[in-house]
Amino acid sequence: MEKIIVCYKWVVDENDISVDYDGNIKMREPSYKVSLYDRNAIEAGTQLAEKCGAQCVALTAGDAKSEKSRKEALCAGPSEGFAVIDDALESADSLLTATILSAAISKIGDAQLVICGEGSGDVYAQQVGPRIAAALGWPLLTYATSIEVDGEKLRIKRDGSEGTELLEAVLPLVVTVAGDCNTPRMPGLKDVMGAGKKPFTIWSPSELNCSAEELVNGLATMEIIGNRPDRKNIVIKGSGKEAADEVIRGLISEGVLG
Amino acid sequence: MSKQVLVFSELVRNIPELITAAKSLSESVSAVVIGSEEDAKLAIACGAQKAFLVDVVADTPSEAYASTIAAIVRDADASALLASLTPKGRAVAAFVAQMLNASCGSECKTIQKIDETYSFSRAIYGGKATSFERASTEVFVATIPLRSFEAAASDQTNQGEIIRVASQAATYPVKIVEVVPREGDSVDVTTASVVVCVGRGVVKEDDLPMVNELAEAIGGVVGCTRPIAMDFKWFPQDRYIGLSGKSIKPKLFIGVGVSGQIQCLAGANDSKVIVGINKDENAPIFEYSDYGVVADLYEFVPALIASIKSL
Amino acid sequence: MDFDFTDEELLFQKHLREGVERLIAPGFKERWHYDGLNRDLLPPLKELGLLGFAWPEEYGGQGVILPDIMHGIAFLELGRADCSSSIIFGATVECAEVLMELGTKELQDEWGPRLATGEAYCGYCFVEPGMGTDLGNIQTRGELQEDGSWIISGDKASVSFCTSDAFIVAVRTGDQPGAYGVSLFFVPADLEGVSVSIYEDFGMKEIGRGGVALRNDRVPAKYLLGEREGGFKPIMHIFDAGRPALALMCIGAAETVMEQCVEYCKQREVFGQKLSKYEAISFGLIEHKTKLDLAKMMAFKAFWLRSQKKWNAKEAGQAKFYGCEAAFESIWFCTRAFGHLGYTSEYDALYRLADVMGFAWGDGSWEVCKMVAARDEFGEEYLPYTRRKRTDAVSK
Repeated sequence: MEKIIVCYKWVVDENDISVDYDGNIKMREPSYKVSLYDRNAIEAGTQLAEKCGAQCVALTAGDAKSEKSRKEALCAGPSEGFAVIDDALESADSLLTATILSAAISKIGDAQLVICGEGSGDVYAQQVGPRIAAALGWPLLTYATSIEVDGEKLRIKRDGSEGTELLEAVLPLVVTVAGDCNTPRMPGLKDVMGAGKKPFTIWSPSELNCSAEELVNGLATMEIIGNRPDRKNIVIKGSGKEAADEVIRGLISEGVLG
Repeated sequence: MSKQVLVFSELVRNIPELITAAKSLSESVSAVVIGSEEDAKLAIACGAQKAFLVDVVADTPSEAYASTIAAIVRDADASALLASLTPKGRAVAAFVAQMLNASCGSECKTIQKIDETYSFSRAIYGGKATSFERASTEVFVATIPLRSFEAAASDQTNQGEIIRVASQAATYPVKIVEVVPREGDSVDVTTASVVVCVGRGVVKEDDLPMVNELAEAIGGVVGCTRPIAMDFKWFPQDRYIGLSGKSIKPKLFIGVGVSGQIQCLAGANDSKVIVGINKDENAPIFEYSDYGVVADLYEFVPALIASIKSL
Repeated sequence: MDFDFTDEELLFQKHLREGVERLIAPGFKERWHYDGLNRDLLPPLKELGLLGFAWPEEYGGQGVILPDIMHGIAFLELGRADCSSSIIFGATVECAEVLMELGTKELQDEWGPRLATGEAYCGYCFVEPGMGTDLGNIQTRGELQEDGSWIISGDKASVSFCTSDAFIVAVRTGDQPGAYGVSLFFVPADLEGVSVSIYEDFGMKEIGRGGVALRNDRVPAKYLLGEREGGFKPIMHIFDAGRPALALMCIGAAETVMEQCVEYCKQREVFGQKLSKYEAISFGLIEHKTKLDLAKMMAFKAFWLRSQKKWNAKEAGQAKFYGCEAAFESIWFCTRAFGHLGYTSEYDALYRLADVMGFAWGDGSWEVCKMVAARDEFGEEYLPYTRRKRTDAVSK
């Protein structure tokens, strides 16, 4: 195996998002980060590349903010990075994102394995990995908890409804990894200092072999409303019979008990 | 006459509720059934006009059926495909969507069709916000959380056609070599009407019998938060309720020593009634509770059990 | 002027914060009752990539020096979770820098591999029962022997990590007055004449502060660090990093308590209103936060000056006396805001207060810091003593 491509998304840190009493979303100068589960994908790709002597390459797509992801993505292990940047990509849905990423994967060339996280930390649609497989015409396997290379084959584990599934696959393949498949490594000082020196290439969508019809958003967001919990918030203090009886009376009146 | 809406789930038992969902969008509903003729007949009994019966190929992962499903949707000239929100369902839905150049709404809270345009709402930012979106592609795929819709009742007088479709799954280059069964867990937190959830306020595994007793007394099952299943391993993974765990919609959810971080509550927020038990009056769960008990769970849970038993 | 961290510094901080939250923060209150150097903190520090700085790779070290600003960031982030972990980490860096700069090759080869990986640990013996701030008054004596070794005797007090495997010891070897007669030695703890006693501190219990007695300990020539009677400058150089580092550590502890308090005050109600609405609370919190922010800036400025190889003793002193006191006061304010439960082990606050208190004295009391800063800012007239002159006395 020559090259592994890991895809990641540069997302708002959800801790910087808050909802006020009127349901308005507030994001004051939010900080951004590589999406949580994508870090598992980067770690999986880096580990496999180390074991097989392959190259691990990071890939992302987004608006100009995504250019800042360079050092954070590259200090986590990949030897090189690519980003497709365009302001229109800020509101890209999974269809458009996957079309762009698979075009970039083809342009990067020589990859036999693409690894994605199970879903992004901001919208968690969990679609891009499977969509990339369809766009590339490659087979797909999702929610892998471990990936091993055995000669020409890949041995993959994942959780199924009946138990743990052990699967065998051949390359090329798109795999999405489950969030608990590994613990992303702590980059050492050398990794942090060296990240900025690794190559990072930026493309615009027009540089990819996509037609204008392909570069289309499948969804449009009409509105985003903050969720305020809408609960009764009845507070009961006390840990004895009286408090217990009060709770039970409440539950009976709600029709969920008795 | 509006175009067909197709439904699909790799777990056939989810098809009846998908049919209800589909009927809210179109009178013309059909089902893709990967299973037996019995399963196809059930789909028809629940209201599907057609059941596209795809033969099961042994030892193949669900992803292998995606191209077959996409072909069925194309041939039926359907406007939408609804799938169940199981991990496999999500993956297959997105895989199929790209094959059809379709947009896909994941984990739709609400879904509607106005003048042939599909729109839906879903939670984003870890549950902090709801996004309202509209599809602009010719075909629309959506994944629907379990128990969002009433299962359509089975009525043997319903008529429909079973169409057998040959699958391409056998040629899929990924095969299941072995399935190692999980230690038997017959509890399904997603179907229970009462769930008692163990959080980190429960200090030791030895304390669990008390929680089990509460669940039994109240007619519920026991689930847990992420660290309890993933880090401490007191429960198998599929008992964990949360953003990347199970989404549940019970009548009653009781958080025992659950702090109420958004990632956990995102999995249980649709419960009818939420009771929170935590000794820290500032725990976030109280914001999300209908009944918040500020008490030491080691004192309150026995008291609650006693009161329930004396009913 | 650029008030931002560089990308690399931000990344370093981001990853450290996550790692510390995962590996160091859990179990803080349980660990706090330890008594002695808690070596259980070394494996997580290693996993965080914080051990082995300044040691060459062939010893198992990282082969790089930790840049000054990142040094400060590490103290800040570790201090957020557990002040002891911060110091346990910091001492390994100091030890490496001193031994690599001043140690003989034999000493480096012999001890480097163990110290670089955390297998062995090194403590510091400067202060004595008879003197603290007045370091020039060291009485522990070292007598040169015919074979080039030294016999060292004396008592050391307030030794950080007194249960270490070895110590860096300040010893009077010459007759020059004050600091000019002081040499630094590396002394293994297993020498016959070395004995140790741990103090019962009320905080910082995981570092094992105590006394070390040296009785006629024979220390080979290879363990002399640097030039004889050249000891004072390296000690001062250590303080120039140590002082702002400790300030940042205390500020980290204070910030964590304040974050808990800010959340608490948003929830807790009195007289029908959330505590956060009352100005006694909001004004108090912002006043303390302002002091913490100012001290943080001064501490990083002190590190920045050091990174530019500029004199930073004034800023280092200012950061320490101002920052540690600001941390103490803000933690005390937050403890009171928590109400009566703030007095119990429910909250971290009093544990942090006890830890932070130790730095009224540790590594330069607030008073000596003010002395040094005043001297640097206003001139030598502002010293309570006349600086001694080096004499031509010849050492034996």
